[in-house]
Amino acid sequence: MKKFSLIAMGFVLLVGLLTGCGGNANSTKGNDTEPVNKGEGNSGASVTIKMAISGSEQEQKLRYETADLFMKDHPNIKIEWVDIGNERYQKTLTLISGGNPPDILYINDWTLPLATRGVLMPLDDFIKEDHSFNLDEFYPSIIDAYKLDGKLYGLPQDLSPTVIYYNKDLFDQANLPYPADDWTQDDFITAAKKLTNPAKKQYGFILSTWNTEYDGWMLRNGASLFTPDLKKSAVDSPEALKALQLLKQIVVDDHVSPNPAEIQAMGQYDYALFRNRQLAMFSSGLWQLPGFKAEPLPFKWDVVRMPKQVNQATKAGVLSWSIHKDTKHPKEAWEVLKFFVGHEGMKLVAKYSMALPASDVKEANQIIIDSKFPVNVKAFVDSAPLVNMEEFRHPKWSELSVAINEQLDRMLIGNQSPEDTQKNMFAKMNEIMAE
Amino acid sequence: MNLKSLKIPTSMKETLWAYVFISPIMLGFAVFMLYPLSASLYLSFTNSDGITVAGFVGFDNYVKLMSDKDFIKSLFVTAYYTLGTVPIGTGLALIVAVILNAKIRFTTIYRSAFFLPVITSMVAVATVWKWLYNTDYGLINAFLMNLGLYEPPWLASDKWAMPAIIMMSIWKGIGFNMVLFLAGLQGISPTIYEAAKIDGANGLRRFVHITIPLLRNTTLFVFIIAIISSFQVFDQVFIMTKGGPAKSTTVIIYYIYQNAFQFFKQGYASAMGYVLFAIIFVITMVQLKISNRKDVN
Repeated sequence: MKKFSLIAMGFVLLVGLLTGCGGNANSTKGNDTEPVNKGEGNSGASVTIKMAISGSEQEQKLRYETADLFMKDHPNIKIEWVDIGNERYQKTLTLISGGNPPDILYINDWTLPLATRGVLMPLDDFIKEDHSFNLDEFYPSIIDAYKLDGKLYGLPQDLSPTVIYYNKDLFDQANLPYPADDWTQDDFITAAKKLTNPAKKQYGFILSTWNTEYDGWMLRNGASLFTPDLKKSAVDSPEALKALQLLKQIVVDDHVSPNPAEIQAMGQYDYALFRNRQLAMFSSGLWQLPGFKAEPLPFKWDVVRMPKQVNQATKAGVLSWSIHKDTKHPKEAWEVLKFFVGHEGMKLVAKYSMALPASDVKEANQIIIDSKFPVNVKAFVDSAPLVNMEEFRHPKWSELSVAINEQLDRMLIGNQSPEDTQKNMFAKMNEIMAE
Repeated sequence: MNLKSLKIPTSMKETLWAYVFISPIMLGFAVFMLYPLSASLYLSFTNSDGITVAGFVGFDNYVKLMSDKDFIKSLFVTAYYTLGTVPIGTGLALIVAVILNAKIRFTTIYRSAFFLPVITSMVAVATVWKWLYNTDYGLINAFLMNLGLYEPPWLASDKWAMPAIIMMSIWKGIGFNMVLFLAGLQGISPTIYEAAKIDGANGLRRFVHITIPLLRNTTLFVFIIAIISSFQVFDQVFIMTKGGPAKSTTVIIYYIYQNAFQFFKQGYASAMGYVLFAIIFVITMVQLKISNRKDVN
């Protein structure tokens, strides 16, 4: 009996494995052979390009509209959407390791980790051969962030530089002049202090735990996270220490911003605090605008560029596309990608005003400036060339990010001096980078 | 094919049908348990990143784990959680079970009330408790403020975050253990209590000398289950603190999750999973050994 049970179980297992794998292989092959044979130029043939999609309803509407416009021009190419939901990175990894990835991937900050693992197709050959495409229109600092060993693995679609949103009414009450785009870090600190009122639970600023806002403060103080060759951490510089001291001053000493744990415990987003007049200033990208337009804020407000120190660099939310290396239709995928990040696609991005177009297309940027919402919306456009996403360039960024955040947390909660923070951060980063 | 023509003996035929009937569960077990278990065991000996072809690295992952400070810290954090939840949670569950086993009015309502958190999804519970712990608007601190007591910063502090999670988890788990204890209590014959009563034993003595010893097997079971699940704590950490502040709530499963799904280290994470398995296995074995020895005495 025992033997029989083993055989039975083995059989069940085998059937399971065979149906699992076999089904998969068949379906991919079945789909692909047909369009390839027909090739391009044949108007009757139809190639389907699977493209990842995510974000708000508004954002998805923008993609649909772009796709519709594209498909009108290219009747032989059909775009099929793959919704990757909110856990974009995990969903993308699952799709890739499951062997059924979209042809065009939606990427935020993990281009390099994927490129390092050979998942993405270099775009250089397409760009070289296609004279209708001009890479020079893109901001060099962003393009560089998608390069590995000199090859380009992604093209940005939306760029949302962070600027400072501020409540004009609260500035008036504190007898402060409104900030101008050339204001300095000292001006900022002075304003934040005057705008903080513990009795009313009102903070002058919120040091965002979102993304890498802290790195913006480092960059503006002349520091950077890595050495230029990306081999070692560069946070041992005196500039980095100065930046860390500044962050500690904002959050701990002056306490003009809640600390990361308080932010977590408040359980409220910066924009909600801003709306409730509990926050006079916060740094964020364009994605706040649709919400503030749909439901107007009950006070006067505007935006201004990040305060200047050594430079006026800023961080941004970026969406980029990459082509999966195993796509069966590289040419068609490139056509789609080129259209999305081209002038037509970028003008649509500007029309929706959720982000800036990620290339310096004057006519598209003019749409944003003309919207006059808010008055100084130009601050976003002016910030775009100074966006620095240095963290995109390191393949182990997700791990480095956790290590850096741990040290920052310690300092910002008030448990660790900037000097020790710098020392620990430097050691931990190098440890990870040396692996 | 006609089964009759094969002339299979009846007993064999019955066995065959038995296998047919259990095949759905066996198939499910094979696909969702056996295969992942063996795949992750294999992965733990590779440098798999979940995407590229994995290379075999032997015991490298396990060796590296021994000197991984973050891993060791996560073990201590998990042990802290276990020590916080298991003894108190089990003790409270026993007390609640004894009280609800007595013949008081509305027991069913009380029992349901205690059991309700168990059947509620952890995600929902953790989200609500996150609000309760809110330092500015939370119900708990509002209550403490009215009493003029100290208002802890709860999830905002690296010292209070873990106690906050522990309190919530005890509240969530008490009903489950209570039901197990209730079942155990029903199994104790009332005649023993009656005999003790006649001999003049008061309520406390009856509890200490009859209830506790006779519930030993139930208690052992509750302890083992509670320890196993406390080593696997994840959901509430993920929802309430994301392992922070400053890693003070990064429990072992959360660290495994980070390595597997954020750092591209599935091989390394699998090795951690198996170390965790070994730890739980050893602890459970020790518990069983200890309880057996008592039997001999």
